[in-house]
Amino acid sequence: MTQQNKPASSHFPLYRLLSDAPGGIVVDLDGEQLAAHSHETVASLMLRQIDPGQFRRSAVSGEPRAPLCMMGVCFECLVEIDGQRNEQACLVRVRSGMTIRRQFPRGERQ
Amino acid sequence: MSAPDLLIVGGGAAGLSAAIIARELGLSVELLDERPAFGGNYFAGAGNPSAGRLGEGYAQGADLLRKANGPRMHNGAFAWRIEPDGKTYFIDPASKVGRISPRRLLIATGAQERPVPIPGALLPGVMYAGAAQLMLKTFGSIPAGRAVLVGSGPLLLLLAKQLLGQGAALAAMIETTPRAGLLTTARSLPSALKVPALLSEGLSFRSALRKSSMAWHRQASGIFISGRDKAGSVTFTDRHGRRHTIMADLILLHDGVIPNDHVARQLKCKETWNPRQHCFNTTVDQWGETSRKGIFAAGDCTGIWGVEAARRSGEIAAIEIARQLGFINADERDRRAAEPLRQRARQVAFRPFVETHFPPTLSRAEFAHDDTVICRCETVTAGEIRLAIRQGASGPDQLKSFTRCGMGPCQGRSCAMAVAEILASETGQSIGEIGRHDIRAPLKPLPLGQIATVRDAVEEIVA
Amino acid sequence: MTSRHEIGVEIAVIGGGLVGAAVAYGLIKKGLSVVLLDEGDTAIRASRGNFGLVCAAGKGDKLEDYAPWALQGVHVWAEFARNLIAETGIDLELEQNGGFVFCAGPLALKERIDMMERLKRKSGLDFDVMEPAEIARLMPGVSSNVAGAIFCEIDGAANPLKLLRALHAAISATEGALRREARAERIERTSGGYRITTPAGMVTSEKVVLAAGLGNLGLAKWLGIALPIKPMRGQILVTERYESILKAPSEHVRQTMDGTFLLGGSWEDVGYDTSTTFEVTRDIAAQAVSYFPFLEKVRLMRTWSALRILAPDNAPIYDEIAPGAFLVTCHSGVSLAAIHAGKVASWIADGALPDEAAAFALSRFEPGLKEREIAYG
Ligand SMILES: Cc1cc2nc3c(=O)[nH]c(=O)nc-3n(C[C@H](O)[C@H](O)[C@H](O)COP(=O)(O)OP(=O)(O)OC[C@H]3O[C@@H](n4cnc5c(N)ncnc54)[C@H](O)[C@@H]3O)c2cc1C
Ligand code: FES
Repeated sequence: MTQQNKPASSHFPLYRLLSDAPGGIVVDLDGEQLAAHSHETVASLMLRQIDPGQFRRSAVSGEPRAPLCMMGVCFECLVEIDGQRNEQACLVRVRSGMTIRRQFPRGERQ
Repeated sequence: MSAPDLLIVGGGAAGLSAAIIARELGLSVELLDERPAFGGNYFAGAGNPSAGRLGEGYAQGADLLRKANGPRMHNGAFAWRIEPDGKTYFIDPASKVGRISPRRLLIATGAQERPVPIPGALLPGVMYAGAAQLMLKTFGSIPAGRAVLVGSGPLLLLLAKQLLGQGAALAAMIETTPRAGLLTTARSLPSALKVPALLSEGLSFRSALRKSSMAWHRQASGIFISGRDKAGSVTFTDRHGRRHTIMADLILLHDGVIPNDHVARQLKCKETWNPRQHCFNTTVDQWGETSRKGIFAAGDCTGIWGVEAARRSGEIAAIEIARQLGFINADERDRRAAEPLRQRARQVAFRPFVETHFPPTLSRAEFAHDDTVICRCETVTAGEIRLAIRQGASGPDQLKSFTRCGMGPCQGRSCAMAVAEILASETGQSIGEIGRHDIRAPLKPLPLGQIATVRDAVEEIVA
Repeated sequence: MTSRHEIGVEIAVIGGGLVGAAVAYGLIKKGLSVVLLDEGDTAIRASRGNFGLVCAAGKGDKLEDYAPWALQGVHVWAEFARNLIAETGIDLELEQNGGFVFCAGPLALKERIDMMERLKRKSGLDFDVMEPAEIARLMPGVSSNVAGAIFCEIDGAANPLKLLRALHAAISATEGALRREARAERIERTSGGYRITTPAGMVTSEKVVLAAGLGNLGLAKWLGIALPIKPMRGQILVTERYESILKAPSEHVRQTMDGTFLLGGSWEDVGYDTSTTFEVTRDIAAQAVSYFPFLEKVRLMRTWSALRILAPDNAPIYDEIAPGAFLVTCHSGVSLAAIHAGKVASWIADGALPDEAAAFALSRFEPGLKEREIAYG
């Protein structure tokens, strides 16, 4: 058995933008104001802002889950958007003033 | 009341090409796509200013998007219920239900990744390769930490090339493509050679990748992913029988793509099992008409034939629809369809190369150990499915009702194939005989209030 | 796997839905050699499409003897469930914390109360009448669009899918007792009983039980009998999971143990058409949202329709339609599952129907009455 590389770092968004032009849209993610680009979706923004382990937890098993397909098929990207739960974050574009709430099993909060 | 000549569901390569031709021929066209931008999987992001970065294929996409652009092209509009006569209920970005009653319907809903139920695949930090490609194409984002690519298929090679080209740190490529596949490739070459551009592109990936510093393991097997709250490493056996564990932040899985055919299935269009592609194909005639008269399907949702074939099949369907509706006669149809038919045939001839070279590996049932989760939404394991079969579940619908497998929000998009595989291996029937569970409206979950408030005014909501 | 050779048993039960499976399970418990012939995955199956209520309220409206029978059926459910769960390890999710019938207006409420009073005189079934404020204690979020409700303490619900699964699991524990993909295509009388033809082979039996739901229409014809039953479509909606909030079921809205809401159910006389329609989906959603406004934001996951198997008086039919050939058919296969596995299986095992069964005989429908002349309600 061989081991390569060092262990993964403990806190890490999965993606980064290639350009560093600042985004012109501001959304609210669990009380934090985030700048986003107008063509981004909620999922793509979150994937480059937060740790994937903090994306959401399954309502069935309570386990952490995060986007898998980015094309509307897997339903692993569910978030609350403007008060409506279980929206597919990968299909919804950011809008100024949008409020996004991560979902954890009911009664539980991060 | 909106009653266009043609309603197209899906604005990817096939749907957009169909829209362009249909409008040219004088048809009134309406198009729905659930994504916030058109382009589907291949031309995703082709409308972005940065699209040029990814080469001329995407410049072509920008052209397609420009030509298709027009009124009655709805983004963020999801078709959630379709009647056998083509009448379609959709939900628009303002969360209103609309209804369209077209004279003809074209389903162009594309492909999805072949689901890969392997141990650890549920962990955050595991994504499909297609997702990373969409992050790059649509959002100009690349992996921030160390990424590992796992699986088989041309997309995996292409993605590696694209990500390396953008400066991403790829820790390793773990290919599961079997050796048998590599050997038979030579036999498939003659027909493949008819499409030299595509082929040489495919082969060039390997040589480009060989020059990079990325570790490259071939014919890997026994793959599982570990991590506590997110993926941390991937373990596999290499072709010499040695076990390896590679640390990674992002693990990108790929085992080819399969049709995204929920719309056709909700309509109970006839389908056939395609053993070479190892997936079901919606049955269509040469023009794209399904077993339901007046309902057409084109592009990858009818079988995996690639982007060029998808464009041509969209055009061909539009031309025949124009004939059926009296916009052109049969001679005119044959004249106009000749070239796209010929080009599609060339593309189809290329597929045996891909199909033989890259058979599904990661996703096959032999990987499904009893504790591997098959249904992600309801967390149903392979063992629970096998138990239900032993207790009397004789087919996919009964299995669904016995285990809740397929009852979650994805409606079985992630588990139906694996369920069919397991049923086949447990009962000795073929996957084609077993089929998949029934698909019923709504095609995706939508809030009750949005349906409840639709009164007789439903038609007026249509813009 | 299916084998084609002929098998011989004491009793063949035709129909692997809730009714047939319950009877077959009961017969096996009594030590008889039984085969259950199950049509398979594509069967038109009410058992997979129903609401899961285990209830007596309102039963017997058109045949008063049904009221005490339904009440008995509910009373024996808990013990039946205990045994079946112990045997199979499958939780039936039985809840018997009472059940509601909601009424939208005062007139509807008054009519309901009158009916319940009438049935109470026959069966002794107790009930309460609740105002919206009282309802809200068990059903938080209920709106003032509900004028009032009937509440029956003994009513409740179970998971019909798990019930069917558990029955199949229990039956298949006996080698050879469950035959899949074995749709009965033909029944013939023989000197010693019956011979049944199925795609999975021939079955001979001393007795036969017709428990094939609407399929009984065709099966009974082999024995020269025309049955007065017909399909009545019900469309049902199911939502995504939600926190556990509703403590008791009603016939319009019930929350399952998984947290999903079941919303029902239409009564449509449309023959064998099992499609769903937009209009009914919308109307069921609208009614549910009007009773429980918080449901507005809860997502619809699936719609389906199932065919109820309805006799003109909505009550079960139990009869011996030819020597050793028993007919068991009813609409409420969940509510009556326990009593079918118990008493009804005993009757069949004994080979004779007692006086108690007389009220449910075919002869209650006028002999010779043609189907189209029967008024359905
Ligand atoms: C991840 C991935 C990578 C690929 N890479 C390559 C490649 O490198 N080279 C190649 O030749 N081919 C590739 N393919 C295949 C190629 O993408 C397809 O051949 C091509 O996109 C097919 O076009 P299409 O129009 O059939 O489908 P798509 O382009 O997939 O478009 C389908 C559209 O339908 C929409 N839709 C689906 N259901 C609904 C609904 N109910 N209501 C509204 N809208 C809906 C979707 O949002 C999507 O936009 C890839 C496929 C995938 C999945
Ligand atoms: S990431 Fe798969 S549906 Fe959104």
